Formats: sequence, C-alpha cells, structure tokens
Amino acid sequence: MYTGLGDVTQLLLFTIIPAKYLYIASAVLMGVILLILTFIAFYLWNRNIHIVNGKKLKIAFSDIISEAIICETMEELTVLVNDDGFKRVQNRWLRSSFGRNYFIKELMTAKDSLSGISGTNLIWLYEYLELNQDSSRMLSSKKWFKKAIAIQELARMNQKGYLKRIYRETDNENSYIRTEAQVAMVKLIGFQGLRFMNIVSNPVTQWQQLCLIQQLEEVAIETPRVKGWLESKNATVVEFALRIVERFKSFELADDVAGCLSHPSSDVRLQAIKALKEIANDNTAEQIIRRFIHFTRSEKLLAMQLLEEFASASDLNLLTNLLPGEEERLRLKIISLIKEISPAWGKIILNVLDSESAVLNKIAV
Amino acid sequence: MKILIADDEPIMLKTIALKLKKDGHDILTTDNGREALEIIERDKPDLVITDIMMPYASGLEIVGKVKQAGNKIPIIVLSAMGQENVVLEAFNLGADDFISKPFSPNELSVRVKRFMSN
Repeated sequence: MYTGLGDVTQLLLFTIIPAKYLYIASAVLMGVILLILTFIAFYLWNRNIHIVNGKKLKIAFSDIISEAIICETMEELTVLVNDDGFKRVQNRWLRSSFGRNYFIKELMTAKDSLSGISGTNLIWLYEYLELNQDSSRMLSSKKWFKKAIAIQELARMNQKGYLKRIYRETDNENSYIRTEAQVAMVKLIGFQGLRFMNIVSNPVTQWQQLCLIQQLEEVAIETPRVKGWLESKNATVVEFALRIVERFKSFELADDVAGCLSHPSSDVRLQAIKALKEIANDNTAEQIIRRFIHFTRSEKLLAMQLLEEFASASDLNLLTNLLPGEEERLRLKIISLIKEISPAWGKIILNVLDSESAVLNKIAV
Repeated sequence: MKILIADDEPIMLKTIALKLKKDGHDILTTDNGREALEIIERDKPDLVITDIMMPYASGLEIVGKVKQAGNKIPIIVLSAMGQENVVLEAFNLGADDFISKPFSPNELSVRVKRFMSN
C-alpha cells in the first residue's frame, strides 16, 4: 500500500504500530472532525435562527409596544390587547420564554425613554401579560445573574409587590445581587428604601454608594436616618452617610460629621473631610486642626484644602502649633495659610523658628 | 404639516410617528442620519425631529449640515438625560428646540403644535 511515507519510515512505523491500529486511529480522527464540523454547523444554524427570530420579534413587538405607549385611556389599552393583531403576536411569540424575555427587554428600553402615562401603560402591559411572574421566577433562581436581572426588571417596572423579596437580597453575599437590590429598594420607595443600611453587614462598595446617591437625586433626604448611619458599625455605611451629607449638604449634621474625623477607617475620615468642606460652619476649621496630627498624609493634604477656604484669624494659634511636627510640603502649605490670614505672619514664623532652634540647641548640648 | 422623524430605536420611531400621525401630520421616517439628510434635501419636510445618537450621521451633524446650508427647517433634538453639553452644542449649531428623554409623547405633540402655530 502506498502511504506517501518513505520505505524506511513506513517500515519503521508499521513495525512499531500495527497497520490495523493505524486505520482505526485514522477513522476515529475523521469521526471527531466530522462531529466538530456538525456541531459548528448546528451552532451557526441555531444562531442564525435566533438572529432572524430576533429581527422578526423586534418588528412585531415594536408595533404593539408603540401602540400601547400612545394609548390615552384604559379603554384604548383594552381595545389594543383584544385586537387580533395583538392576539396573533401573543400566541405566536409570547408563549416561549425566549419571546417573553425579549419582550421584557424591549419594554424596559422603551420605559427608560418615556415618562408620564406612556410609562404607566408599559407597566400595565407588563402586568397584563404576567411578565412579572417571569421576573419573579428568575428572582428565585440560584444563578446570581438571573437574580440580578430579575431585581432590575421588577424595580424598573415599579413592582412594589415584590418589595419584601427584594429587601431580603439587600445583604446578599454576592455584590451584584446586593447592588441591584439596594438600588431597586430606593427606586421603588425612595429614601425609605435605604432602611437596609440599618442591617447591612456586607460592605457597601464605592460603586454601590455612587449608584445609590444617583437614585437619591429626586427624593427627600431624611436627616435623622442619616445621623443614625453615621454611628453604624459598618464603616462603609458611615462612608455612604457622609456621601449623602456631602451631596445634599445636610448642614444640621456638621457636628456629627466632625465626630467621624476620629473614625478608625481612613476612608471614613477622608469622606468626613470632604463632607465638612460642603457644610462647614464656624467650628469646622478648629475641629479639623485639632485632629490634624492624627491624620494620614492624604487626609492632611485634603484637610489643608478645607482650611485654606475656612480657617480664620481665630485659628492662628492652633495652626502655628502644627508647624513643628510637619514635613516640609505641609509646613509650606501651613505657612502660606498663616500668611493669608494674618498680616503678622512673618513674626509668627520667626517665633516658631526661634523656638525650634532653641529645642535643637538643647538637644545638641 | 410634513414631519421627518429620525431615530434608530424602532419603538421610539414608531411611537413618535403614530402619535404625530394621530395629530394629523404627514410623517416621514428614517433610522439613520445619512438617509435623514437625503430626505430633507428631497422631500423638504416642514419640521425635523432627530435623535442625537444615530448611525452614519448623528443628530448634531444633521443640525449642522442643514443650518449651514441656510435651510430654515425647524429642528427638534431628542437627547438622553444628562447630555446638557450635547444639547448646548445642538443649540450652537442652530437647533430650535430639544426634548430630553424620558419624555412624554404628549409633550412632544404640544411642542410640534407650537412650531405649527409659529
């Protein structure tokens, strides 16, 4: 048999591996290749069907969704859902979970662009087609991403009936689920939704905090609650409360925020300085200066920005006392601040230098 | 009144078209900026409503090109919330009004009526 191999190679090969096994190995290899090709062909065919169906669905769904959007009364909506065209779409596409999920996505996208009665119509449609049941089933899923999507859907479609179940997820071990649940709570019931801050034991990451602050833009802030969170054992809850104070300028909490300057967490102290910058009063500069030597370098630099804005002549002594212990860059900042607030700054600095050299002389002796 | 609506989001496109058709206007639609410019050139609509983000040519490009050519067709720009800079740019280019998403189709209808009365 001609194998394309040289005589010697062929001889050696057939000596080591019998020809029978080589034929079997080739057959197996061919089989595997065929299997892979079949799988690829099936995958591409299936994907193509999904793309084509997706396009068909988009057209069919956009027709009924846009008609629902412009309905102005409940009667018009009722007429729409009893229309033959609507029933056809419902029977053809909304029986499969693929179609229902696609419809939910389209509803969400449309809902984000609309306000007023149009948005309400979409919520009505979501409930009429019992799509909230689909979201509810996903909420019970063990897969974290399904749970997170379900929470998002229920919140965007204003499903307050699921509040208790969503609340349970606000301290979930998984940060994605936790974030969605926490944001959903605020979306659904406003500031009241933040009550999970009282029980949350997992960290509220900076990203979560920013998402929540964004949600709070349109709701009234309840200062007593924020005050309570400033004393939370969870440092990230304190940090979040400070962000609220900073963003919404809760002046009445200035003293409570000043108390956070001695918090063990540096993130909290930094955020406290930022918050104080927004709500500073006559005592703020003094409160900062008194804690100054305990700050880390980055806290000190941030604190200097605040002092540059709010320190006055009454803080001069305290500021001067900071000079001996500080590194060069901070000393320069403090000196230029003293220069800003006192015409006798030159004399003050000279006094500090004199007392420093006196100390140095004593050490040398 | 002949109105051109340009938006690449099918639901929004159909919604606005349905609403304005219900108000008695003639509607032209497109889902991309390049075709919008062609329609403006060819069909000379009385009003253009355009989204900012669109394939081939953005809403801003449409405003810029139309106004640069000395065309006085009023243009309403649809923008997403928080796009203040884009809206300002659209006004600088000559846009006549803007509507920020999320919006109510009824509000859009009222704005269109205002342009009609002018």
